[in-house]
Amino acid sequence: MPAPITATDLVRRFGDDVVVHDLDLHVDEGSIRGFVGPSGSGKTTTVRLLTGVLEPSGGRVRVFDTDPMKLTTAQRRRIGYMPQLGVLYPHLTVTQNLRFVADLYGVPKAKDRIADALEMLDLTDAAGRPMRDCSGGMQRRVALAAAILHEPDVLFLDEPTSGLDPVLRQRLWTRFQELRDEGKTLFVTTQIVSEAAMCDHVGLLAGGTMIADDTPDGLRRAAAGGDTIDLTASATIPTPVLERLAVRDDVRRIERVGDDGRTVRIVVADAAEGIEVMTAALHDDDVDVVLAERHTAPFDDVFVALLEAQE
Amino acid sequence: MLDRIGLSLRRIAGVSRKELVELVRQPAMLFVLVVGPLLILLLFGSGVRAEDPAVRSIFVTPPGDQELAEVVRGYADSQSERLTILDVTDDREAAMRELRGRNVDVVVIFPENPIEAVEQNDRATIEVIHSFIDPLESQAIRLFTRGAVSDLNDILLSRAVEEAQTQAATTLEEVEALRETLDGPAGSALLSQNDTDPEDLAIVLDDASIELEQLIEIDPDVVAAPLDGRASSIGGRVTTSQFYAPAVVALILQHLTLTFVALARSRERELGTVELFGVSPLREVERIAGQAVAYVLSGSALAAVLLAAVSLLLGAPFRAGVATVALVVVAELLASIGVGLLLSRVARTTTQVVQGAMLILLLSVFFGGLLLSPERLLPWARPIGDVLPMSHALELLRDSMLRGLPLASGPITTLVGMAVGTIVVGAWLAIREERRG
Repeated sequence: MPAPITATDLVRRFGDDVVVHDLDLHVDEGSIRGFVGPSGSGKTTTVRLLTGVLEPSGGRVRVFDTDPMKLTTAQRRRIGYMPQLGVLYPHLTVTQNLRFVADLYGVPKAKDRIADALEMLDLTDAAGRPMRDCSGGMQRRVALAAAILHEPDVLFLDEPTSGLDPVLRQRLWTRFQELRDEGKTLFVTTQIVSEAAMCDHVGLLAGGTMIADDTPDGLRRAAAGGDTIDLTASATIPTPVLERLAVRDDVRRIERVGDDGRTVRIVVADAAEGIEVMTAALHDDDVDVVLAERHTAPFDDVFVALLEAQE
Repeated sequence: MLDRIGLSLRRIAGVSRKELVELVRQPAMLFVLVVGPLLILLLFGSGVRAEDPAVRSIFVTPPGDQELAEVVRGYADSQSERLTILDVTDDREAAMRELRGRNVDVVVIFPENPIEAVEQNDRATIEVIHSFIDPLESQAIRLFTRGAVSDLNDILLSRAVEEAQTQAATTLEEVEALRETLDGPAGSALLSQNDTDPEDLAIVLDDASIELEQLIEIDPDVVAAPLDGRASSIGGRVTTSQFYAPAVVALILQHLTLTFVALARSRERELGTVELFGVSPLREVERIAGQAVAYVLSGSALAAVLLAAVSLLLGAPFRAGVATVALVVVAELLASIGVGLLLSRVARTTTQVVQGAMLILLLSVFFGGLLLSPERLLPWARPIGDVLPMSHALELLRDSMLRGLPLASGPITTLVGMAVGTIVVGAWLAIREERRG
C-alpha cells in the first residue's frame, strides 16, 4: 500500500525567493509526522503544497497516490485540514461553524458527531457562543474539531498548538496520538520544538531546507553524535579516571555534569551497552557507580545542536 | 450517482445556510440591508414634493399701457399656485432689483407698443429673465413662461376678437337698416337710378348678414385658441414619488446584492476560508451556487419588503401584476450576483470591494436612469448605463409597475443574458484562480 503522503524534490518559489528547496517526504500510514522549524522556515508553504492549496514550482507531491491539485471529491473527503490561522466564521456560533463543515464533508448524523467532537475537545459549554467571542485556545480547538469531524484518514495540522497553554497543548497531543492509534495519518507542523518528542518521525526545516529527518531518538543521536548516558559515583570521580575514559575508542565525548564532580555524561554508540561497559570501566578504577541512566536531551538542545551543525 | 448529487446539494445548501445565518447574525449589517434602504425610500417618498415649486414672477408692462396691464392682472388672478405673479408693474428696474435680490424667480417684460409692431408686420418680443442655473430647471422655466406668454397672447387675441364682434354687431345693424331702406320706396328709386338688380343686392346683403351673425355668435376664446390639448399616460396618473419608487428599488437591490456577494467572497479570501475550501470537497461551482441561492433568497425578501413599502406607503401601483415584477426582481438579483462575482475578482480586499461598489453606485445614479432617462445621454454615454443591471431592471419595473405593460423582450433578454454571462464568467475566473492556487 503506497504511503498516504509523499513528496519528491519539492520546490516552491515566490518570485525569485525559493521558499521550499528540494524537499523529500514519505509519511507512513498510521503515523504522526512532525515538521519542526522556526518561523518563516517554510512549514506552512509545505503544508499548502501537500494539500494542493499551492502548486509546486518543481518536484512532485502525491496524496493517496494522486496529485493533490487533482484529488477527487471522494479523496478530499478523506482529508482533514487545520490551517495555521483561524479560518472559520466569526459571526457564526461554534455549532453553526461545525454544522457548515459537516455539510461540506457530508457528515452523517451531523448533530451527534458535532456533540461528540465538542465534548471530546471540552467545548460543549461554548457550543452556542459566536466564534469571535471565543478565546484563542477555544478557536484552535474548534478548528481542530472542524478538521476531524468527518473522521479523515489523513490530517494536515498547521501549528495546531500555537498560542495554547501547556496543559491544553498536552491534551491536544494526547488526542493526536489517539487518532494515530486509530490508524489515522497526521502531518503536524510546530514551532514548539519539544512537541517533536511526541511524533513518530520528525523533519527539521530551516530556510526551506530539511536539515534533519528522523525519529525523535534518531535526531537526538544525530545531535549528540550518539547515545548519551549519565553515570553518578558515590564520590568525586578523579580527573585521571576521566582522561583514561576519554581516550577509549567507544567513548565519543565525555564531560562532567554538576558541581560536586560525582556525575559524568558520556556519549557512546549505544546507550544500553555503554552503561554496562562504562560502569565496569569505572569500577576497574575503583569508582563506585551508584546511578547509571540514559540521558534524554531536551529537544531545544537537540535542534540548536543540529542547526549549529548545519550552519 | 444519486449519492454524489445528494452530497453536492448538501454542500450547496450548507453554503446557502451559512451565508443566510451570517446575515441574520449581524444585526448592524441587517439594519443596513433592510431597515436602512427602507428608511431612505420612505424619507425620499415623503420628502419629495408632489408638485413643482411655485415660480415667483413680476410682469413688466409698457408705461402707460393700462389696457395690457389690466389684461396681465386678470391673468395673474386666474393663476393657480404654480405661477405666482407677485406684481404687474411698469418699473423695469425695480423688477430687475427684485430678481437680483432673489425675491422673485422670473421677470417677464412686454415690449412697448406691441400693437404697432404687429401693424408693421413684426412680431413683438416678450423678454423673460430668470435666476435659475440648473439646466433642467432653466429649460423647464423657459417652457413654462412660454406657456404663460402664450396664454396672455390668447387673452389679447380674444380681446381683439371681442372688439371685432362689437364692430360686427354695429355693421350688422347697419346692414339691416340698409335692407329696410332698400325695401321701401326710396330704395326702389335708388336702385332704378343705379341700374342695380334688387335681387342681386338682396343676396349680397343676406350673405353679409349671415357672416356677421356667425362672427358675433362665435366664442372669442375659441377663435383665439381654436385647439386645446389634453395629455394622459397609458398607465394612468403617476406621482413624483411613485415615478422614482421603481428606480430606488432597482438601485437598492443591485447595490446591496453585488456589495454583499463581493464582500462575502473577499472576506473569505481575507479570512483564509478559501484555503479550507481548496482542500475540502466543496467545488467552486457549488460555492457560487450556494451563494447565489442565499442572495436570491435574501434579496427577494428585501425586494418584498421594499415593494410592499412603496405600494402601501407611497401608493406605487403594480399595473402588470406582482408576478411580472417578481420576475424582473429575480433577474436583476441574479445579474447583480454576477456583477458581485466579477467585482470580487477585481477587488481583492474588503476595502477595495467597498470602493468598487461605491463607484458602481455612482455610475448607476448618473447613467442607470435614476436621475436622467437614457435618452438624455449622448450616444457614446449610453453603453455605460447598459452594462448596469439596474438600468434594464428600472425600465422593466417602470413598464410593469407604472405603465402596466408586459415585459419588453429587449430589456428582459438583456437582463437575463447579463445574469447568465456575468455568473458564467465570474465562475470561470474563480475556478481558474482556484486551480492556480
